[in-house]
Amino acid sequence: MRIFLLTKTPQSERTKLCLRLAASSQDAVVYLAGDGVYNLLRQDEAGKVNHNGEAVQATGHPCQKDGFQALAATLQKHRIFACLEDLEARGVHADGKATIPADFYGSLVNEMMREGSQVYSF
Amino acid sequence: MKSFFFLLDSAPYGSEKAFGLLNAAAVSSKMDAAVGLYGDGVYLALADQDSRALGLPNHSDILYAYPEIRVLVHEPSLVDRGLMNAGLLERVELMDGEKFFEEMLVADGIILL
Repeated sequence: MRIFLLTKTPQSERTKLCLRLAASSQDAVVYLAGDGVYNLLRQDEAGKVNHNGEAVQATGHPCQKDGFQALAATLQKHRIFACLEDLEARGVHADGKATIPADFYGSLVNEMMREGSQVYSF
Repeated sequence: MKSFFFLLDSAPYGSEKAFGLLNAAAVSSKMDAAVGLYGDGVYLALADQDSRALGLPNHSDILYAYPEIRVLVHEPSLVDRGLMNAGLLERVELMDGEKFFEEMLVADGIILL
């Protein structure tokens, strides 16, 4: 199993690289911690619409693909895990888009310790 | 033998990330270690680096001091920065995107700073 620990926001180049690698792996799981939980936001939660009706981010930059769209294109829901404390700290609701383990880091370490596991941290 | 892929995705000078990453790779040189240059990290592949004015070590010297460490360069990052015709260090290996990502995925661990 390939485990990807993602702590960066959707616009980070490291996030794009992480999801690219995860998409190339048959057996990938993604653990979202810290700012990584923002990858569960959909476009309508993360941004707004400008006067031309185009989706834009809060910064005014055009939206390309929202965090969850990119993540969901890569993995199924049961392969995405998010840290409850980090979700709450950032006001992000998982809304069934990810599994929320009671013990996020315990679950992560258990997966890491399994024979044959590979861990990639971004 | 464990294999580690040290990914440098930031500029080689101006922060301690590259120096720290290269030293970590040097310490791991008895294992199967590779340094991957990606994004702004590809600037480390340029030949004729002169860091004296910065008062910093020349990071390319570290690469030459440990020939057992492979140095892989993400070619699309070079193209994005207009560096395809620039002189590069002799010991780097240019790789297209797919090959570069394959090298990352076969490693037991990826380390970024």
